[in-house]
Amino acid sequence: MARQVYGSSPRAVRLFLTLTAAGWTLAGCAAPTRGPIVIYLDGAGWYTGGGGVERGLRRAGYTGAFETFTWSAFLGPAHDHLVTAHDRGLAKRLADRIAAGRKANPNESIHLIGLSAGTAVILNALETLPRGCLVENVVLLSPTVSAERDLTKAMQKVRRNLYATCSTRDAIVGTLAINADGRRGPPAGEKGFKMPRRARVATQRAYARVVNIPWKASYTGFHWDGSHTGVTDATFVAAVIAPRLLRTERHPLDRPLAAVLAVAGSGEQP
Amino acid sequence: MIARSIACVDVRLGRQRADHQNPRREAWPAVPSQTRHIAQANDRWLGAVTRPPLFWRVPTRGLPRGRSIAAGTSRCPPSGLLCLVLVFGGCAGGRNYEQGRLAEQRGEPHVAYDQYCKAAAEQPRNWAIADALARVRPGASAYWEAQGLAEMDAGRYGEAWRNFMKALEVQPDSTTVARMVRQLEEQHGPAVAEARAQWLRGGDTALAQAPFPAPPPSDRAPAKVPAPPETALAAASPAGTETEVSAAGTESPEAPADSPVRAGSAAVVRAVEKVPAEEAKIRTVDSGDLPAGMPQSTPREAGEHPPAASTPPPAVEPPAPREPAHHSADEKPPEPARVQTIESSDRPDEEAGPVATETAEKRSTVSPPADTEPPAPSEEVFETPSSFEREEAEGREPGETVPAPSAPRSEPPARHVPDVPVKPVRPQYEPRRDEFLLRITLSKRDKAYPRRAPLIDGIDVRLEDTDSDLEVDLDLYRGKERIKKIRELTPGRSQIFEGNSGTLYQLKLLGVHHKSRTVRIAVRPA
Repeated sequence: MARQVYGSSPRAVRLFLTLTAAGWTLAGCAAPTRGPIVIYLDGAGWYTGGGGVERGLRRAGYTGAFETFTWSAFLGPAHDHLVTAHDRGLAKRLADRIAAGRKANPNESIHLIGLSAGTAVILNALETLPRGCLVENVVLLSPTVSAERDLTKAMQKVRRNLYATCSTRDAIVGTLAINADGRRGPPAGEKGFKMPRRARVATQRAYARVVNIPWKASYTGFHWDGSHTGVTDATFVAAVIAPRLLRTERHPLDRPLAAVLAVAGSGEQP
Repeated sequence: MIARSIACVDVRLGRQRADHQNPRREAWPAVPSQTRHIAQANDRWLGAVTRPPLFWRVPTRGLPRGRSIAAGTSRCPPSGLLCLVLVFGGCAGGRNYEQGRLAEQRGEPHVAYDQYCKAAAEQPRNWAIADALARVRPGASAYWEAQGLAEMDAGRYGEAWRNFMKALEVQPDSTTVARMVRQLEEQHGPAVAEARAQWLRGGDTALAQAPFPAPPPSDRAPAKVPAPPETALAAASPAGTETEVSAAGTESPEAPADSPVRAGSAAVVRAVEKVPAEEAKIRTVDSGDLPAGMPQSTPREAGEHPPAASTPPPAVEPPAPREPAHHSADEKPPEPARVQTIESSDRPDEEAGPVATETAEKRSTVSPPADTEPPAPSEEVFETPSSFEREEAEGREPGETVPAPSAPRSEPPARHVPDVPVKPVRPQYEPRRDEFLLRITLSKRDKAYPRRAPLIDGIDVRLEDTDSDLEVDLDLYRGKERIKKIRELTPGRSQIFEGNSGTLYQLKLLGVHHKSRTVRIAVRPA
């Protein structure tokens, strides 16, 4: 009898087991995890950058969760860049996910890392986060948002620092006609963010935690040759990005925008 | 590929003739058909790519059939242009790369690193440069870290901060150096404030820099200055009327005397008699008498990095007491520092001077006639393991010298020593009493000493190797996990490490005996 029952539908049993495993996996991914969380957003039409970032963080000793937030419409990079990246609903979805993670782990750190147009989604999500829901650090890799974007509101949801890598050798950023956030100005991925002129005190405080990481020739040794997606190389992430995220102290090489301008004594960017 | 494309264009011009001339095509019948088809397809593609536009074509009717383009007679081939572009395009980055490679061979990883950075700025996608940068990075970082420690010991906290920041810029994930920088900023904030402000204004250009390598001897125009006054150990050269001034320190034994000076040894300003290259002599120069333009106490202005240039290493005076810890960068010793010509860089502390001088004196007095072969870098001046024990038994510190009772060392008369080439010698480090928390002797060959031993605060140290240049490789372990590799540590140099409690310590190499692979190290709080 038993042989008849089990033997009659092995295909159904196999299907049941597969579906169960897939359900557990998906449910496990969706459930908030314990410990520090890194939420990573890929660039427009670029769906494979997370591997290098995760490997770099792990290599540097990161043991927490690494989640990839998929935001692409899968209609190509142009559509992602021009349309999807500044979709408010998408930003709200990311904000909800951050809020859920914060609710599950009130004392753990949440880091956001985005590449290219994914940085626009991050900044929009930060602006829509509920009050009191903070993330620890934000890393914008080759951001294609406007360099003149005012980060004051977004920085209110960042407990520590916002890092933005930039490179004048970035061919993609250098040829962009429209920024991913739809705002005017040169992309921040070229020469970094700029603090608004005649900044108020709140803005100055916010930009005291905004750090541009421009490409240097020495970064070639860490396998970032200044290209747009080369910044996600595991070696660079492990050596340059991870020490800034995984330590609670300020990294000595951080040159916050506001501090630079205060020392320079002028409104010009260094 | 270039040769292949040339061959393909060749084929188009005189296909039948070229088919016979091209050995690969002659060999085709021997290769499998699939390979042959691929090669034919490649050649077709290359032929299409490298086909010159019409206006380049020159009537070739008068030429012999099958005249090769490679001979450069009939057309201006794109492949030839490509060759030229590749050759001349590669020169710019290649020069810096070559200089970096030479510096690496000389044992100057910090100079090599800066040169490779320049090469990388021109060719960021050159993976050979990336590999070279990754290769020399640990050595360069260790060098700047050691320089920072030396500056900190001398009380020049601004310079120490610049050096530590440079070490961190080279190796951004170094937690110990980051902690040292933070510690400096917390404990000596006013002293490092100016350096930090300069860095905020100017970025990495405000950090410590390796000296720019000197051009080849043929291109170099030595700065000619009047000869400095004769002082204690000056070996007067009969023809020594001109003095070549260069940033200096130790030169590697392999490097010729007129090669670019070692930057690691940029601790002193050196005046070398203008004599044949292999006859560099010991000379002590009073920096107060140095001509204008010569870097004296702030060598960075001259683009050099001699951090210990203003360290007072009294060549003929008793060791000065250690400067108090609150000695700031601006409080320089009032009297002009005597600049020792050899080896002060390897002994960054104040104790470096007397021992180096003593060694020089010893070598000068027993030196053979000038026409004989110069002595090899002697190991006899270094301590042996038994000498470690003997000194401990006598209650002396390792390396401590017994003072001569009757020889006043304050102002010895100027002595003329024979013109003997003196090879650089790395002196041993001479510690002061109660300077260290602990001293350990490790050996790889001598069974009387362990190779691995517990150090402090849960950290073990293991001797990896020594070499004839008296450079030591050590590894630090936390349990079974190796937490730090220390490479090419020379006597008197230090490295920082972090204990299990989070405290920072400074590991200093006191002495090396290479024959028995024995080293003496000490630890003190950083």
